[in-house]
Amino acid sequence: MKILIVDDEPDLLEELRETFKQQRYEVDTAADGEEALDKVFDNAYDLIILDIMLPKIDGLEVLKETRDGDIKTPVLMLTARGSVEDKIAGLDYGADDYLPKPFDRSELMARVRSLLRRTSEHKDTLLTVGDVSLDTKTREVFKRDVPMELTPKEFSILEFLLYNKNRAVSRFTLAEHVWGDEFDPFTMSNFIDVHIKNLRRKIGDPETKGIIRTIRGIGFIIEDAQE
Amino acid sequence: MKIRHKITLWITGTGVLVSLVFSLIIFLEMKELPYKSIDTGLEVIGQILGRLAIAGKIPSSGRLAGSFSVDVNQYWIKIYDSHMKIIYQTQLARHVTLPMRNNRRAYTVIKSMPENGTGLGEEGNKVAFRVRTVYLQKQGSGYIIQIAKPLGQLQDEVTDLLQSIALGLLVTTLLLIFLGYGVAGRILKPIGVINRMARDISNRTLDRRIPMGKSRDELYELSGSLNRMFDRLQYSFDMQKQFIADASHELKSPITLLMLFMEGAIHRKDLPDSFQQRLIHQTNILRRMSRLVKNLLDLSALELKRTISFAQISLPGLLKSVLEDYADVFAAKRINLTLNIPEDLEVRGDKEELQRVFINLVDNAIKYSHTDGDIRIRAARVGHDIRVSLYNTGRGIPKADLERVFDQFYRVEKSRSLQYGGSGLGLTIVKRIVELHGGTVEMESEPGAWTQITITLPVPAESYQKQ
Repeated sequence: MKILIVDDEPDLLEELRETFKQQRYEVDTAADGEEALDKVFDNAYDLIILDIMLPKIDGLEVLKETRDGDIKTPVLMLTARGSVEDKIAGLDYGADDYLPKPFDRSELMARVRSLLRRTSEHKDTLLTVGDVSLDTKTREVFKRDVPMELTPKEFSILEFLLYNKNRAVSRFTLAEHVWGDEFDPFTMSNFIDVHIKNLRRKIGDPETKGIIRTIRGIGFIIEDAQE
Repeated sequence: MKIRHKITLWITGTGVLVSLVFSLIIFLEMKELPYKSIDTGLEVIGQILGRLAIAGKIPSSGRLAGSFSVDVNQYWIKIYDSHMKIIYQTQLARHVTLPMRNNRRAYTVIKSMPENGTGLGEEGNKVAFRVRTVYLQKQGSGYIIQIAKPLGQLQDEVTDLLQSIALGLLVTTLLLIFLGYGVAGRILKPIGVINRMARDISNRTLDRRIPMGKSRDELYELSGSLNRMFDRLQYSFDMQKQFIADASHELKSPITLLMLFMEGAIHRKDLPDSFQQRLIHQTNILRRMSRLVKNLLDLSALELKRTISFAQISLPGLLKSVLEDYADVFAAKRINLTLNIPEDLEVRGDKEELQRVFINLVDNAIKYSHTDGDIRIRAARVGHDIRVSLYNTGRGIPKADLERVFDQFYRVEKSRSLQYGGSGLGLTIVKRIVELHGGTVEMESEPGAWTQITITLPVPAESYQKQ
């Protein structure tokens, strides 16, 4: 998987490159809009992470020219927070998703995986762990092919943990992801345990050695079965 | 003392002073005037009597004969010969002694009446006399005629004059106060207008200015100066807000960078446990900082905003969508939620911003309410307003802190930030959004028992025109 990251902040660009490299992605970077456009038209990327505020040519313009050039690579916009206009404009110009700064690593990874999965060749919309599977398209959850009733919040938690499979996700990140940006994650993270408990009960998951594991002090993790 | 009263006082004071000087001059002029005819009369009578005395025809009776029909008994008359022997005196002169001054001019003497029988009132009654001495020299013998007239009538005239002047002064003073007050009001009216305008310009309406008058007078200059001051004020306010916005914005990239690094580090397997625990703690601190920056940016964006986009929003719909997100939280904390909102209640405003208001308020209510507590949300139309109140049982807020809960970064207890999270900007954001909608927020509390926050939003104008 090849990702192009466009941001004018050299340190952030470097950190993002490192983050994605650790995840075994191939990473290319651009520091301004001009460079970004050059690279977009010269290479075939699987995903573009694009900051809105860029020198020379701004992010929205880059996006517009990319789409005008008939390049359908999924684009994740990094937006300035609080500017709904940016958000709307980004989606209008053909961005696939947006993420306000500052963002969590887990959130970023989940979004990236989701975008890559959505457009991957085999169109696999199924996330699975053990005998539990989640269809991101139909928003259904199955246990041994038997559909299950989950509340939207429970679905959202399971989906997020599956996108970050094999990686611990903190309560705060989970809370912020499930309830969104407006909600105070400090209030919500106190209730994440309640949701996890309900979720475990529904998918028939034991407290210990189950699918969803609690990591003391951090949060939760879904790991592939070891056996 | 008000300037209006001061101006009135000055106008009245100077006016009264001028009138007083004027009256004094008039009085002094008028005072001597009535005596002139009397003095002439006394002179004439004196001359006649003198001649009669010379001729040896001193009238025995009270009346002077001839062309003068004067009752001599009305006068005080003494005639002396050259040896200062009294050769004639009237009835009055027998009873009253008047001093003789060696003086050609008339003078006034005031005497107490010695006894009854003078015909001039009771004993001790004070009577003024106009006295004149006439000297006659004829055929070697000289006569001195001292003649005086009681001035009862004339004193009254002087008193009348004084009274008129006093009355005139009184009327003038009253008139001056009245006019002065009016004139002062007229002078000060534009200042009042400027003052009202300046007062109405709050930090929320700093873009407003005082209208400049047509005439280029001192008030025009004052308005100009005030407007220039407002320009500078608005500039520095905007600069400050812009600074906060820029600073928060600039902070976002380094925070993102740190978050990426810290979260990456937490997931490393080769670090000692104790170190990882510290990393987790630091990450949470960083997360709080990130939250704070987000809220600061939100708030500064709201501060720079002057208008909002209005839309017709169903209030129960909006509240229910917010409460839905908290449904599990209510259940987990076993909070008893009571909703009392008319189904057809609509508000006019920015949906996203109002949603943020209710998220913040519901969040607060949950945060500060105990397990098994009560949260009651009520909404109703009251006159031309829509009132939404959120009540929650809980520890409450001390009276002294109620005023300040909307202040930036204000916390009832400093320790609460660690326990409950939050940035300390939630209610400030709520207040700002509500104010942008033309509404007000109010907080009431009974410490140790409950807290209630009430939002009042104006009802859209067309909806009461419909009714």
